[in-house]
Amino acid sequence: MYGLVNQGLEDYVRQQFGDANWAAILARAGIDLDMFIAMESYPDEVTGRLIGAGSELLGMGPESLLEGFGEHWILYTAQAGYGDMLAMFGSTLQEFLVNLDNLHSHVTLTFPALRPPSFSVEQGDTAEEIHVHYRSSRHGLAPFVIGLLRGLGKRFGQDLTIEHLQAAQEQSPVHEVFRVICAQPPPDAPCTSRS
Amino acid sequence: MHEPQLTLSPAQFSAAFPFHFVLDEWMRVVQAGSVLARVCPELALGSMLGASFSVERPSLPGLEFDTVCRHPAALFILQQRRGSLRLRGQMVPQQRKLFFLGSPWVTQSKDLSELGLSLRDFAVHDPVTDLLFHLQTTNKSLADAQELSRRLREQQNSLRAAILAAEGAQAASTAKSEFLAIMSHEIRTPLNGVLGLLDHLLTDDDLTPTQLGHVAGAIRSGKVLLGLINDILDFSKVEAGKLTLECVEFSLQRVVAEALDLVADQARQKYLGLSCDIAADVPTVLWGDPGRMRQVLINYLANAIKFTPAGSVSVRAFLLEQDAEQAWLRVEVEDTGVGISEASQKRLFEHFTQADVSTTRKFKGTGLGLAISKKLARLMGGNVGLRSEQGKGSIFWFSACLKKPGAGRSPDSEGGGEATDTALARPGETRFTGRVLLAEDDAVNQQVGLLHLTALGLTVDVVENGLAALEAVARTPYALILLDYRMPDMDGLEVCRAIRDMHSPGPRVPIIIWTASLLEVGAKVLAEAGGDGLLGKPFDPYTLKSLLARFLARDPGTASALPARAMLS
Repeated sequence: MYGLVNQGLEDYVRQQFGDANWAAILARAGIDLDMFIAMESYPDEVTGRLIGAGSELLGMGPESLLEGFGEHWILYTAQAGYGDMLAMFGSTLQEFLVNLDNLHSHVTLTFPALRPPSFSVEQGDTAEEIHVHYRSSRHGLAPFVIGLLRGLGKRFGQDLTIEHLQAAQEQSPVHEVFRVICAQPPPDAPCTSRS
Repeated sequence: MHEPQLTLSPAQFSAAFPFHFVLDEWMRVVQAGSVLARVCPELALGSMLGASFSVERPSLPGLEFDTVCRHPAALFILQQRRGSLRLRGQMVPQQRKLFFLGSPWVTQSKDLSELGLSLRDFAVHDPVTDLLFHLQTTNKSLADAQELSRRLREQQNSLRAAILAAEGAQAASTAKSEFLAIMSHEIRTPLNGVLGLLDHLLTDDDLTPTQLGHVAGAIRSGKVLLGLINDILDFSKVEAGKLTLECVEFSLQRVVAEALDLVADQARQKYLGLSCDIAADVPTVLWGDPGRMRQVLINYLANAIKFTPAGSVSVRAFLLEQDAEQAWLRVEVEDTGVGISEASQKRLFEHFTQADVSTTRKFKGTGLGLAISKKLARLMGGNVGLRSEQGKGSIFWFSACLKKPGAGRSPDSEGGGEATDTALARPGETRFTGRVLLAEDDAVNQQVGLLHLTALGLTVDVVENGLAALEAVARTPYALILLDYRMPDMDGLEVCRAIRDMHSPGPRVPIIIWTASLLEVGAKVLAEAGGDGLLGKPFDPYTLKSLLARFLARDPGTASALPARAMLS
């Protein structure tokens, strides 16, 4: 994982649970670093240790912690200077979700060691319903994706109901499907990748 | 085989080059990409390029068709005249037309929104988005570097503050040690007078039993006061790193026996049993500091007796480990006393700590004894600890690493070794012969020294300063010289050096420095000045006799002038 991800986790813990808890998590995870560097690639295991230690110290399941972090991630990347970039990828939730896979393709060029997930979107049975397909070489990050979708809902001012339709963690690559229902009917948006 | 040809419909061409435009040979716009036409409406069909854009690069003499055609491989940079749009691309001439193929040049993502552009306005192959990502990531890296630099500066400032604080603390500690050294001298000097004269008063046959009891009581109180001062002084010495250990031959069995002997009366008064068990494999002869071993043991024993209302106190000593050169011993003192709560156990060996405040009120004491014991044990290469259960009793232990005979230095019964003469401990059995010089400026302490030395059979000359001492030494051959450390003209060490200079070719006269300033005069300072021994103020008569026995010949056939009751103290 790039340091930017660990920085985002740090920002989430500091904001939600305080600086002392972040220091305690670092100590418990046995990570002796002054700070993470956004552009440095760290082993996935470092993030795993942070999540594990955070879960133990904060008394919440790792899934809850990951979901909270996912929701914060959208806010954090905007704070970290990527807000305008995010805006470029869509002015509505649906447009953004359609472009999410392209966004990761662009990011891959800047972060060469990135192993990005892949997203695709299908229209659901109703106008309010869309299905988000998530594919990744990493296991166990479905709660993060749920949080990410919630964060996007907040960004675009839409209340979302998210259902995890397909749990296929043991598959490689992982393929998860989430049903996302928007509280208000989405404005017309193409549900295919932009070309 | 024909090379494949790409043929694009106008819509495909516009999607691939949304910022393109086409000029005729008069440099009029004949076609413009849909996105460019939207964000730059002045580039209308039929308008002159020069009306809406200037050419920044390459540098051209004029914006004519043929001039531009001569630069097919140049990078063209066009600047919008009435806006901030900047286009980069190339001019491709074809059939008396010029095709501009390029896209907007932006260096930050907010430029796009200012221009009214979004991601979908760009062709997929256009790297502008990636450039923006890259630039933003560079900015983020720069921000990380600045944050790292800020944290580093913060750490350096903290480090500097910590160094300053440590220096301040060290200065305060030194000042405290110096203050304690002076205070201890100021307190011990008159105390020497009080205890010395009281000790001697006990030898007075004319005292009634009641008066004797009063004197003995006054001596006991004086010794308690002395014990407190010694504790504070010891602690200060350890804190200041000035406490050095002796390394002399001794017997642990003897150290334990003496310690038990010293506390036997206290135990008897409370009807407590006292016992001792020294394992058979503990070497009978060891090298170390018996005085400090005894001090720790007495501290443990005194505490055990103090906190044991009924039952017994026992000492155990055993060997933990040994090799050819060293032996690691552990000594334990077990009692059947009140015990200590688990919470109190953790801080018991810390400075100024007793089990709780009520303990201080009930049992008195400074709370320094165990802290000193811990520091002494550590200095001896060992440690301290305890096991205790409230209401059932406690076991206090200390360990020490001691040298074995033949390891490093050879036993020397004549010098440095602990006195083994039990006769010294008994009153009235030891007297010496010879003439000694006592240099002391305090009149009461002159009297104390004179009384004790005379009682031990010695002839004593008393002088009151260093110069008078040097004159006396020049005139008279003395068997031993006792010099007060703090005298008004020359201190005892200066006098000692001067005497050594005077006597360098002749026989060496033993010189003892008599001092209440034990912090200042350590074994090293004494040896450098040419001294042979240190006598504290106040001194115990036994200590004085032990010290004299190292240097003076004994008077074998003479009865003691000290009556037996003198040792009641």
